[in-house]
Amino acid sequence: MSTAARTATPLARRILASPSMVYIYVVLAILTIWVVLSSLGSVPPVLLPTLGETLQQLAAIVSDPETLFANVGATAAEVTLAFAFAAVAGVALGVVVGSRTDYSRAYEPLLANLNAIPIVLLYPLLLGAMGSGGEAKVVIGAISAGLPIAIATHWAVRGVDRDLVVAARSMGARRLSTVRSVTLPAVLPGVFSGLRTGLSLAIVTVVAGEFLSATVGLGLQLARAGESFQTAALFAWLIVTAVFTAVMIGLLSVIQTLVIRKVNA
Amino acid sequence: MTASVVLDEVELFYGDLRATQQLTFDARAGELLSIVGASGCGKSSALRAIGGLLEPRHGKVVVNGRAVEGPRPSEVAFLFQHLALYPWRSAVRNVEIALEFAGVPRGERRPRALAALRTVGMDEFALHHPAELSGGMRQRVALARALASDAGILLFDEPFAALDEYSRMQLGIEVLRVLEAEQKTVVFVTHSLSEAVYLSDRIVAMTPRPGAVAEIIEVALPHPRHPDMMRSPEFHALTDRLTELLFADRTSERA
Repeated sequence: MSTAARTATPLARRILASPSMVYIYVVLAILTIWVVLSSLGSVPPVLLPTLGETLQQLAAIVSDPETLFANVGATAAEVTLAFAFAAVAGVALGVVVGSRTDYSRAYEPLLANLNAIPIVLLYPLLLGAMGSGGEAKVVIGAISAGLPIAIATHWAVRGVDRDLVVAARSMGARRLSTVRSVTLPAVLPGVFSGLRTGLSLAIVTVVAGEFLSATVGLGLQLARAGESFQTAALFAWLIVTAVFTAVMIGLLSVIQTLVIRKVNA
Repeated sequence: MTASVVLDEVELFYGDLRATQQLTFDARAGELLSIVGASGCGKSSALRAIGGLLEPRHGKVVVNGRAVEGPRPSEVAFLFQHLALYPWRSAVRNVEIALEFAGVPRGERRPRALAALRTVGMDEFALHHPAELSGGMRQRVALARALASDAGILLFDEPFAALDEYSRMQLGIEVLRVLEAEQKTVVFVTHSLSEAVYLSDRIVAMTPRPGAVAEIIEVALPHPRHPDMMRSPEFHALTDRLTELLFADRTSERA
C-alpha cells in the first residue's frame, strides 16, 4: 500500500521528499544565502569571505595533502580513541545499570546529572596536567561521549519487552539464546542511537580541545585561522571539518547496518 | 477420555501475593477448556503454571502424565495476550524462532514455518513484519508459531482481547476449525463470557483472588459451532449461568 501511495504522488513532491535530495537543497540554500550576503557587501569580508576566496583556500589546503592529512589524521586518531573507550565503557556500564531495577533507580539519576555537566570545563585542569598532546582530548572526549552512550544503553536495556523474553522461555530458549535472539536485537537500535550522539560529542569535544591547546589537528587550524582573521581559511577548514564529521558519522551508520543485519540474520 | 493437563490443589504466589488457592481442574485430551473469572483471579497464572513458567508453592501440575518442572515446548505452546511477536522479524522468521529454540535443524525450519503459516492462511504474508500486519493477521502469525512446534497442548491467554467483537468471533471460529483438525487440547483464558460459551467444550469459572474453582460447566452445543447458535436458548442459559457465578456477590464491584 505504501509503495502504491508513493508512486501515486506527483513527481515534484517525490523529489521534495526524497531523503538524499534534502541534503542538496540544504547545501544549495546555504550557498545561496552566502553568495547573496557577501555580494551585497552588507557584511564585512572579515566576517564573511566570498565563496571564491574560500574555494581558493580550500584548493590550497587540498594541494598540500601532507598538512591536510597530518591535521585530519591527528583529530581522527583522537576522536577514534575517545569514541572507542566511550563505546566499550558506556555500553558495559549501561548494560549493568539497566539490567536490574534497583541499580537503575540508584545510578541512572547519577549518570543523567553527570551528563548535564559540560565536561569540557575540565580542559584547563587536564591540559595543565597532561599537556597539549592528544591525551587530555581523548580523556575528555571519552567522558563526554561515554555518558550519553551509557544512558542510551541503560534505557534500551530497561525497554526490552518482558513479554518477548517470557515468550522465548516458553519456547524453550536457554539464557544464552535468549540474549542472542531476543535481548540483543531489541537493544541494538537504542544503543546505536546513543553511539551516534556519543560520536558527535566526541568530535565536538576533541576539536574544542584542539582550539585551546594543540600542536596539530583540525581545531588548531580553525583557531589559527580565526585568531589571525584569515576568514577565508577559517571557512575552508570549517568545510574540511564538516566533511570529516560526515565521514565519521557515515562510517558509524555503515557499521550499524552491518551489525544489525548480522544479528538479525 | 484421558486428561492432558491436571491441576491438583495448586497454590500460586507472586512474592507474598496469593494468586490461587487449591485450584483443581483438568483439561481432557482434544477439548477446548475455557477459564473465566474477574481480573486478577489467577487465570493467567494458572496458564503460566501449566506452561512451566510459574512454579506452584503447593499442589502439583501434571502435563501428559509428568509433573511440570519447567517449559516443555515440544508438548505445550503459548499464545500470549500481547502475542509476543518479535517486531524485527518477518512473519515467517517469527515462526522459525520457535523451531530454532526447540532445536530443529536450520534446513527444516523454513518449510515447517511456511506450512504453519499456510494452515492459518498467512503464507502470502510470510515476509511481512508484524507492524505491517493488521491485528487479526498478527493473531494468525502468533497462532502459526504456536502450531509450528507440534505441541499437542495450546495455552491461550486472552489472545483475541484486542480485537473487535466481530473479528474476534470470526477468528475464533476459524481457529476452532484448525484446532479441531489438528486435534489440539486447548486451555483458553478469556474475559468474554459469550466467547467462552461459543468456543468451549467446558468452562472453568473461577472465584475472585485468590482464585479457586467456582464451578465447571459443560457446554452441550454441537460442533462445528456457528454464529446462529449465539441466538439459541441454550447459549443464553449458559451465559446467564456464568454471569450469575461471576457476579453473584460482587454486583457493585467493577470487573
